[in-house]
Amino acid sequence: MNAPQDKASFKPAYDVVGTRPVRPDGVEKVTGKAIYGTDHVAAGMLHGAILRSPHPHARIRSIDTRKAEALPGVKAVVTGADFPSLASLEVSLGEGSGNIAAISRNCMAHEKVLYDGHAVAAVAATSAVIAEEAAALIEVEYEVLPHVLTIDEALAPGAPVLHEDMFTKGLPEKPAEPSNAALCFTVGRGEPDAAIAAAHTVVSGRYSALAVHQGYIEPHACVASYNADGQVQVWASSQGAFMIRTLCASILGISQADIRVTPLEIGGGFGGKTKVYLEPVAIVLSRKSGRPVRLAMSRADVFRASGPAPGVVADITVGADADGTITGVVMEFKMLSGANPGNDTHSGAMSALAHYNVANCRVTGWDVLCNTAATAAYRAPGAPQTIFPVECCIDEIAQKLGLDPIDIRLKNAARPGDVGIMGMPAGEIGYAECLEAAKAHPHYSAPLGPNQGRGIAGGTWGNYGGPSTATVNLGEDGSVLVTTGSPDIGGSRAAMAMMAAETLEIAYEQVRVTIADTSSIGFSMLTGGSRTTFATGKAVILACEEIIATLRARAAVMWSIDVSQTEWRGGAVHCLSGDKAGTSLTMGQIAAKAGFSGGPIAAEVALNAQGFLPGFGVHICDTEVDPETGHVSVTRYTVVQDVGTAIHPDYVEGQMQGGAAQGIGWALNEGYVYDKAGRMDNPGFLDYRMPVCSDLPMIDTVMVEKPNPAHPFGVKGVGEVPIVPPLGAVANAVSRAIGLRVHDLPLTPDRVYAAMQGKS
Amino acid sequence: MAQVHPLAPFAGQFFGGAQVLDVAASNLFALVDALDKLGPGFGEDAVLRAAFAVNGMMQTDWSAPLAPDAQVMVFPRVAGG
Repeated sequence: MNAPQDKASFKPAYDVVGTRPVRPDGVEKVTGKAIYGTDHVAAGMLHGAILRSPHPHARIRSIDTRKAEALPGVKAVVTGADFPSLASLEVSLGEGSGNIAAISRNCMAHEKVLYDGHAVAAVAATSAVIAEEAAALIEVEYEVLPHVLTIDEALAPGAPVLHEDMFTKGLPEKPAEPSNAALCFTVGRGEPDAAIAAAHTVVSGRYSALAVHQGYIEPHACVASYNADGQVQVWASSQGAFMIRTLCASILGISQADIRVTPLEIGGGFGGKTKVYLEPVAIVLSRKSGRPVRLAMSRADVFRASGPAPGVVADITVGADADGTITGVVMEFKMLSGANPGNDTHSGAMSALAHYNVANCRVTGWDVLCNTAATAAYRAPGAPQTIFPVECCIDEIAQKLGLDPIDIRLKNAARPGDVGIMGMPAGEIGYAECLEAAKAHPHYSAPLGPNQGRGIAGGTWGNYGGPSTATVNLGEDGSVLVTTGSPDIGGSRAAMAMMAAETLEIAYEQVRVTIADTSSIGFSMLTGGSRTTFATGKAVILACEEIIATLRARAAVMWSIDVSQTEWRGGAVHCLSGDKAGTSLTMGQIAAKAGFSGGPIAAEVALNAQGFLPGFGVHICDTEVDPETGHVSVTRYTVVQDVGTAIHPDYVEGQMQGGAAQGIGWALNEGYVYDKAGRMDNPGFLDYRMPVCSDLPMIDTVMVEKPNPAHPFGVKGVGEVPIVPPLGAVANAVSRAIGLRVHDLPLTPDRVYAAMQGKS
Repeated sequence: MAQVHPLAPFAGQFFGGAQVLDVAASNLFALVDALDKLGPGFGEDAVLRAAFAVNGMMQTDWSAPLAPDAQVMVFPRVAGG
């Protein structure tokens, strides 16, 4: 790690921010006491099982549940008929929106199944074994329909259409016929075709990447309890308890006030736990059985039925001047979004060139549906897929022009004030600083061995703010209780405690943080979009400032002075005038007398956080390619990132390392594989090859801290950027190792070996 | 008058491909109302899908005052992971 280990050399302006205290939930987690999705038990709880479609595309002719219902121990069986028949209605879901009918039908198929693994029925029984046995007794009569798995198949004339009511949006005229193209979206400026025609050097190519899963360790799981009075409790592991409440209420026609969702600990999300799959089904099972019901996915269910990130095919042409100035870019990409319209096309198009100044460009994205699981967000959704071709082309141009790969990026890098492709001037961004830091890093100038190559790639993600609520309560002893509605995925409890301690000028250990259920705190948007430390942190800071104001006012009354004659310093109120001048009252001393003044000392702040800034990263990757097998080893890897101010550097570095590892997996090993019948061939970690520790070197990190002026401590989001550059960095490293470019990911040994043989 | 720059898909879908629209509005609520009159249906769509940047800064608080000469970009909202 390059980050200094002590605050004195790192962040002298702060006492707590920038240090590395032990995480407050660490002991509970390493001792196995933490309660995750499948750990929660409710009194009288039943166990659920879901019957899933073996067909990628079929019409459900009938479902006969009688044998299952007759099995001793079975308490309820549900199908799509038990769900409200919803109209096609878009609902707001925080950062984006979703079609509530499609979300409901993804939880439980109604008339059609759209992918292998689509839920068609569910059972609740007194044991998991009985539930599984009963599910197998359900007889479903399918009319098997032809299916499509690839972009070419999905867009071919006469292709089977998944949704007969879906017409391509974004075209000048509404198409006459429905199709599998959900959306076409173009952004651009200038005259890209003319610029490319006049360019000194032009490179082009077709690039592709497969759909990949987020790979969280903990499968989706929940317990739901529907009471006789219509009130519902849900315990679930997710990125957003309020998201679950909103979606379950909308799908099932229940008042939000009647649903209380308690967030359990989460074993990874990465964007994949921003949707509901099981919760509405568990509620319906509980309503029908009258008892709490647990549903949990197997690993195969997770792969088959919960959203991966979409695969992509992209055609790109880039033109440059002789000095490396990029003069024009034209890119057309197609995202393969699975069974329902995806969310990656807009973000992919808007992100593709967001880290460069390109005067002439046109980026067109298509959202294409096929008979695979509906896709979900994966860290910076859409950006890895579209920035990968851009970074490969820039590398090719650098090679053709004999330029250093960092220098060419510096020449074209977006800087503060530059107007981007969306017409917005950049704020205090740090891409150029990241490139400079990468160039200065010892890794960049280290010698390479035989069969080795070094790749560089940059990337960006926009981040987010949005609504959050936080409360701060003082105990009678002066200790501090912070409560938020943001599930802790990446160490946010520690970050919240640190920001509270910094604001209050007290020790980190004096603050405890709780993640509340949806009935115990105001709304908070889900933990995603790299927003929690920024937005929820801002709410915590403002609440602490309110606490300070209250403490000063209480002390002023005790001292019979005006509040202006008090000062907050070192976690205490100091008296500046009168008889008590020079004395002070600690938080505990004031809190102990709260009952004699205005009552309990507490503050709640609900805000809509503004001023978020995008993050940027530059990755350096060394690979070694075995000339006899084509196997690629990553021998050294360095992540450089503009992180704003790092509140807890361990967790920032952890995000950088984790995102890089996931991106390396996307580049080298991972991908959904289907057989000819449209069934997923690799729904398990043995065949779906995510990188493990022994596959990777220690990933070095360099935090470039360019503070965000719109946050009290300068926070920017950090969780999504690091998955963006690895696809390009690895591909560029392999390209330089073997002397030719492989355009298709993953760079599996067979693919790399075949390319090398083709060369020879 | 605020200068509104609707980008794809809103420009084509609601405003006949117009690149710039002059709109008098005191905040984004009023601006969305005004744009809905110019392009019926935009208001409903904006709640679900539109993001706004005011003078180069993303603005999700529609109640924030809008300067008379504000530059407003309208583009699709994107969700993170």
